[in-house]
Amino acid sequence: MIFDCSSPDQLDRLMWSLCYLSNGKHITFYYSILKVLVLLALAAPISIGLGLFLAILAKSDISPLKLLGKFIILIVRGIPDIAWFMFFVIALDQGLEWVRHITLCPDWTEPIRQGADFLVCEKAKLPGNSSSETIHEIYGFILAIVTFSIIFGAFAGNIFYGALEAVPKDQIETAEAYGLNPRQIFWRISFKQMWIYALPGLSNLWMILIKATPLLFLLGIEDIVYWARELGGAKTPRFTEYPHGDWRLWYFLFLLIFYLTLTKLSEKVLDKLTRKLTYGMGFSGENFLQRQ
Amino acid sequence: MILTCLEIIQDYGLRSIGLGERVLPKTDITICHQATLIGSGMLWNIYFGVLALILGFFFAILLSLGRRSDHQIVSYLCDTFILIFRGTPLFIQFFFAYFLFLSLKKAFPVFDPFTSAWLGALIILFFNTSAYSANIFYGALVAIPRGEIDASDSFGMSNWQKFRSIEFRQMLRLAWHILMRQYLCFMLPH
Repeated sequence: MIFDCSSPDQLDRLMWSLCYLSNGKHITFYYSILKVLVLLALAAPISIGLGLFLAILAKSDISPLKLLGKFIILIVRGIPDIAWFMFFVIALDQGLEWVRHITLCPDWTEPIRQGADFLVCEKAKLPGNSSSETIHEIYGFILAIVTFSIIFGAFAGNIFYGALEAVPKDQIETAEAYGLNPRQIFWRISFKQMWIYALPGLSNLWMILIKATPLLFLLGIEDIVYWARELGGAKTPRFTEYPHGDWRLWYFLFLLIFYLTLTKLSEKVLDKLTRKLTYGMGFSGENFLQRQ
Repeated sequence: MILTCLEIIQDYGLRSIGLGERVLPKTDITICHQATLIGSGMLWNIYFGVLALILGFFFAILLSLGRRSDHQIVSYLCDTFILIFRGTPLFIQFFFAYFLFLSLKKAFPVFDPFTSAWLGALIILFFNTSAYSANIFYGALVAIPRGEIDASDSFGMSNWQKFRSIEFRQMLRLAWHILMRQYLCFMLPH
């Protein structure tokens, strides 16, 4: 370390703050901020991919596929996302363990569900009992990413479905008149024109996704909320070299500012993108957007 | 069967607000127990949802008018309020408010009830839904056709008359659908 932080109680205020903010636990705190950003960076593209898939499914000509797509979109949208978060993480975890239990321990006789407990054999446990804390963390984080992606994928699916419907009929008719087959019409016209209609919805969804990231805390991930509570709590000299009072207020103020910056920044970028993509589309709000 | 279920409802129906049996059943948890206990918890959802939405509706109208105001400071304050409550996660707002009230309580004992959920959480939910609704109302206010305002001016209407008979009605009409969708989103995640 650049600073000499060996005896914090003898440092002056500035040095104390620098030492305090760079101690081991704070580094973990900064890592947890990174976790949020990684979650956003991974969940967003996966959701968009899943959303496209669901929208294409819901627009399909084969009626079972069409129904399936519409059903998935409807069911995920109709239930509060917080319930999904709780449900998916438990369901995914138990589902995986159950599959492993059946394949790895075929001669196990006791029932898996005993009252409120979910018991599988040692070998089927995920992650294994012997694996380190980091593995447990990573496993939980991956489950969280999958959960976020499924939920936001269904939301995105709904947006893409609406956007595909919003593409002007004239353009489809023109394409038909040119003799394009349905597949060509879909990939060359609808799919490309759809994006601008989907953009407002996707911008909204991105904002919701950002604001949903503290839910990681509810899933038991050691995220920024966890560390803000942990680090902010009053510390006595017995347990730390940096005793302080209850600073949780300031840690959460920092989180508020962090999220406010993130949303404000996203808003700027998305506005710019919207303006760029609406250029020349002949929307009623276009002139207004261009002027801003 | 139905009789025992009625008994269960009697025992646990109001558990979430501190009435009736405290100790949870240990054995023989039936579907009736589960439905009653979850339903009991929903009393809080109704309390928070209804109060925050009704209070928020009126505060949101004030906020949206404030944001449109020609008075720069008022407009700026309302804008900032909306930005803060729409731009940050509700979850963090809850935590922040709780710790804020906790430190205020140390200085002023008046803030004691604010640290309990029935008031503290209600205030945050109220502010949060106000900010979201105010944004919708503001959009509607701006979208009222210019001609209607001009017409009311030429009728010699006072500002209050203009607001009451033209702007408020048109604003509600324009905002209604989006507002209902917002309320649905508000009720669902909590």
